[in-house]
Amino acid sequence: MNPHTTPVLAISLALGTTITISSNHWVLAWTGLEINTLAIIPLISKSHHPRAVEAATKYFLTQAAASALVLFSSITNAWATGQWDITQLNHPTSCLLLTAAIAIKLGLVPFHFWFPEVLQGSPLMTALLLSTLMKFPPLTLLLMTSKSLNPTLLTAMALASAALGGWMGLNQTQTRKILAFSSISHLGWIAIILVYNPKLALLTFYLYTIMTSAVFMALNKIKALNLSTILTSWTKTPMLNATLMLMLLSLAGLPPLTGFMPKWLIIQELIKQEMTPAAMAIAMLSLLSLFFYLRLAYHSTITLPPNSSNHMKQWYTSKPPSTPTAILASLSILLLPLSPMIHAIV
Amino acid sequence: MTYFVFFLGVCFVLGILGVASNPSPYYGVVGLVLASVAGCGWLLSLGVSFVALVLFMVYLGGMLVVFVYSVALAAEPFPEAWGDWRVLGYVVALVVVVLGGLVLGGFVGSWGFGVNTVDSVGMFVVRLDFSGVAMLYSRGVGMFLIAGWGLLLTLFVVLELVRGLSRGAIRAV
Amino acid sequence: MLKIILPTVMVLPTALLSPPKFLWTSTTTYSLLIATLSLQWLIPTYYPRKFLSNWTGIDQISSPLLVLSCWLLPLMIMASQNHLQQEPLSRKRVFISTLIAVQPFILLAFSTTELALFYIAFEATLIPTLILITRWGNQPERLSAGTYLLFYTLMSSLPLLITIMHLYVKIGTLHLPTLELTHPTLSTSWTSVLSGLALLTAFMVKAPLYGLHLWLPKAHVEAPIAGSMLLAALLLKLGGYGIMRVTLLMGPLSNLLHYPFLTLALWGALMTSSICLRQTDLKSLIAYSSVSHMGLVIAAGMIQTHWSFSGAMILMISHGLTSSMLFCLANTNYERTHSRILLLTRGLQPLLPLMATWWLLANLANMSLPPTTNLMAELTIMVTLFNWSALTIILTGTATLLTASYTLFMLLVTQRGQIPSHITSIQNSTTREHLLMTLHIIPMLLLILKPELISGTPL
Repeated sequence: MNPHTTPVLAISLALGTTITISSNHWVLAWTGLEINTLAIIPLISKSHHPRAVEAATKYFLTQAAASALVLFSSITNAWATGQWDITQLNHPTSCLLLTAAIAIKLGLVPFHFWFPEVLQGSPLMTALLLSTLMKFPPLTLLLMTSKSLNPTLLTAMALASAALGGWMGLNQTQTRKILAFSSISHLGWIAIILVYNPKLALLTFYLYTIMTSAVFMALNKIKALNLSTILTSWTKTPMLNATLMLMLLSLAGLPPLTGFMPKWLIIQELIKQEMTPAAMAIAMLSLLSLFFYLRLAYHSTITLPPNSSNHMKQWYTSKPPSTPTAILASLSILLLPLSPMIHAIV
Repeated sequence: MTYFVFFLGVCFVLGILGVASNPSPYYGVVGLVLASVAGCGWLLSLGVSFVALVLFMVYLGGMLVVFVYSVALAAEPFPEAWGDWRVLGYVVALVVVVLGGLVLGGFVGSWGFGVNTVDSVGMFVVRLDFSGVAMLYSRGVGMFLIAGWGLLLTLFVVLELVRGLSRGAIRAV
Repeated sequence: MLKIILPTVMVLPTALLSPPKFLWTSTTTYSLLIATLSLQWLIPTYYPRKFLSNWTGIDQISSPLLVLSCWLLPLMIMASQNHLQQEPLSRKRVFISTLIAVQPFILLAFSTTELALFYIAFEATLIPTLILITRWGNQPERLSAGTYLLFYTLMSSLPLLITIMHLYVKIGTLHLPTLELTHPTLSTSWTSVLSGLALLTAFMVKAPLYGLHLWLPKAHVEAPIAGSMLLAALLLKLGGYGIMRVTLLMGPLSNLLHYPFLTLALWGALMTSSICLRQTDLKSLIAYSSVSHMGLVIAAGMIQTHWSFSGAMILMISHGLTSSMLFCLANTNYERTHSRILLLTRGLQPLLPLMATWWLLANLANMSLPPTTNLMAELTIMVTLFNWSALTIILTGTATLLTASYTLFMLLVTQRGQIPSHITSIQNSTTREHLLMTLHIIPMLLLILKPELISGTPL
């Protein structure tokens, strides 16, 4: 890619995200979404491998359809109520349409099929953008309209996301696909709490962003696209591998790590809302994803082979992991004791 | 007047059918031009001259240029045209779909084709939508800039995606 | 509490930074010092809780377990020295720090007065244990052992979390001393039965109850010696401790909860003892013997009388020391013969005569011979069970008989008889191993003289 291209795309990504999250008007929000979609497409197809081009095409088609639905729902709402304000989404049909549109944009379960394949086709850092930054604007729209959304629909989609994200990840050996399914099941946790406590959903998203960014950056450092590469990477970066295991378990939500905080708070909120069976179901479904995180963790450090690797290439010394990786890793492991403060800030 | 509007509407549908049924993007552009001209004329005859003008400029000036340009970069040597028998199947199927849509939508018969315009009925002295030009440049300048940036970005992304020999372009840009 | 927890956390930098020559010495000495300091928790008092702060407090149920866990840390470090000899320095440091990393969580779990913190600490012990078993075990089967450990525990403890949150939403506090004061309304609705079940099941799996115990023998067989000691001496006690805490909260249990757990616990004590009789794997035998003993603890916890709680406490402490010592002994054999199979490690008494003494003492304690606290505990539990229902004497009596038989079987097979020809020359037992056994046996013998320290009754 031309070196002058990247700044333009980066600026456009920032612009699109900012416009969408700060707008009150549906058309402006839609413009921001479109700018975002357009700007990420060259980043997805950077390698021009047929799979990358395919991923870019899939991404463009789904996002364009979803944006059109967003526009359609807002116009329907404006037609019926005379309001272009995002928070004034009152018409039931447009609420349903918007939920469907945002679900397509985010990759919530009935509309999740594009997500793993797009992630698998794109480079690791773009995949990081796709699963964090690109989900932020649609999620903001959902947060702003959360008062008028249908809780039953969202809960059903959330449970299905948690189930299918865990279930379909079980069979994967490609790290990007595993992380895609992990993203889907985390979206389930976000969607289930969205109507009842939007701030908590935002907190969950922030923490998920921190944790998954740390994992993506660590994987990018060791250039691990599948499980077997992780298995031989301990010779290069032993500390990073040990941390990667903790980050993965944090992503799975095991108690002393950061990932437990959103689960804990969400379960508490759900029980407060008399939704104990749903809390039980989503907690149990998170065990499914724990299984593939555990397998990744086994590969990253727990099952070091007793002998050294005979892969000559793996012995090359490499630069130590970058400072952002280190900061994100410590954040994604150690934040649980600070949970009251974080809960108060967000 | 009624027949003119009806004629433009038919041209619009035909143009879209031409784009949809054409196997080659080369010739599909002709249909697109026809459809956009007819659509703008339709709007014009309904009395929305400003929107018609803006649409005409955006379609022909912006998107169509981008479209033609990208199609020229990713051209195929022996394009297929309407002359093929296979295309007839597409046309028939699409016409059936359009007619079915019209019938199901209840557009045939019940509405009729009156001379109701968007702003008013019958003769109207001052066109409201001309004040939109001033509004666009004064109040809506932020939106205008963002929309412009969006269009520019589209062009940029399309060029970025289709340039280079490896992607089937005629020339390496 | 922080007086002990902070030094324990600071053993971590000691392990990571101390010069290679003093790595073992400094960590062992440091943790032994902490263990000595922790003995102050045993000082008798008339208050229901000592050292009470906002989040922690020690009562008669937690203090013996706390001291036991502090005591076990230097022993675990000492026991692992031999099998880490060939490892590079950085791995030794990582292993020791993994051992140390469990310790603050165990201390927190035993001492906290806040149920949510208890849950977090209870679960937090999982990750270091998982690393110990799966990273430092020897055989490929360790992977499935780790998965079993993780999933058995989490499957049962997620309902626990949800019930804890439910309690919080309903009552408004999770502070244990406050919760004990609020009288739970005795309702027989199926939701309260379910929440009682959820509260208990997590600890039943951890304890483990017969039927939910399958992860334990796997984990024990695959774990390195420190992992086995940790599991047998501390983590199983976490289950027993949790049962005692939680049953106090729930008030008198309904029969729906009573019968299945009591039946399974007693029947399990019987069944696991019988399994021990036909066991070929030494570590597995000791693991099943743990299940059998913990069955008695569970039964006592379900009875909920003062006598039964005091019996359960004494049994937990004495079983913690005894089974940990048995695992150490099994490990000394394993390090010499590289086999856990009983048939291949027979008749070691002529080769390791002093070790045979430790085997004898440990086995006598395990079969609860008269002066030991094990006997006192088992008698107390049997009496309470008999008081509850006379029929239980059949099960407990048979289980005791079987316990004595398999312990004798273990002692006779490992120590007596002809030496097999393939192990005629093995390494001598070292001073470190003798010290390890001595440090196990001294508390056991001393506690015979003053069992009320660990009996869980307010003095």
